[in-house]
Amino acid sequence: MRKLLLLALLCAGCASTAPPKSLSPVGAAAFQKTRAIKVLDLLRDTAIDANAQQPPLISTATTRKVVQAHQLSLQAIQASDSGWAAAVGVTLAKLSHDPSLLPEEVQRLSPYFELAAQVLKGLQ
Amino acid sequence: MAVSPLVLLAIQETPAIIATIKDLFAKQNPDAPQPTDAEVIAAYQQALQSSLDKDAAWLSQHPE
Repeated sequence: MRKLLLLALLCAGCASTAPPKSLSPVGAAAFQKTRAIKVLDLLRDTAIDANAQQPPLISTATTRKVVQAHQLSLQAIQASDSGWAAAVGVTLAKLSHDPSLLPEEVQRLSPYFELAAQVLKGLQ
Repeated sequence: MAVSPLVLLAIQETPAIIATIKDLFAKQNPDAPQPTDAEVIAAYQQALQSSLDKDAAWLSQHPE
């Protein structure tokens, strides 16, 4: 799984999926926002599933922070048509550097943070 | 034989990861029917709402 994520990261820098040409600017914006939501969902769902393992791989406190950051990010996406990608990037960066996260938790979530960061970078 | 929780998580998440990555990097097929604005906007609104609902549900089940 780590190799798969590493491959995705390597590809992320040079790959970009432009919205279908049939879309208007409004449709294109919705397309890009959906891409962001999907990659953020991957981060959130992984944290939730990791927390559900026995024993938990990520604490409930950390998972709560991930879910709250995810919620905040989606609210930012919903609220604005411009600048949301940068705002979400800041939210994720702040979370990934939260001192209350254990090193092993950061290590487990870092591929997902990186993937989200790369996708958001391509959307700005 | 007991399986490591990390391995279990990897097995559990791999299909979702592969599906997400394929979707993120899928090239557009020029012969495929192109989506309309209405379809894309509806998909976005559904993705947004269902995701926010999942956040709210998890947070309500795991209060501080």
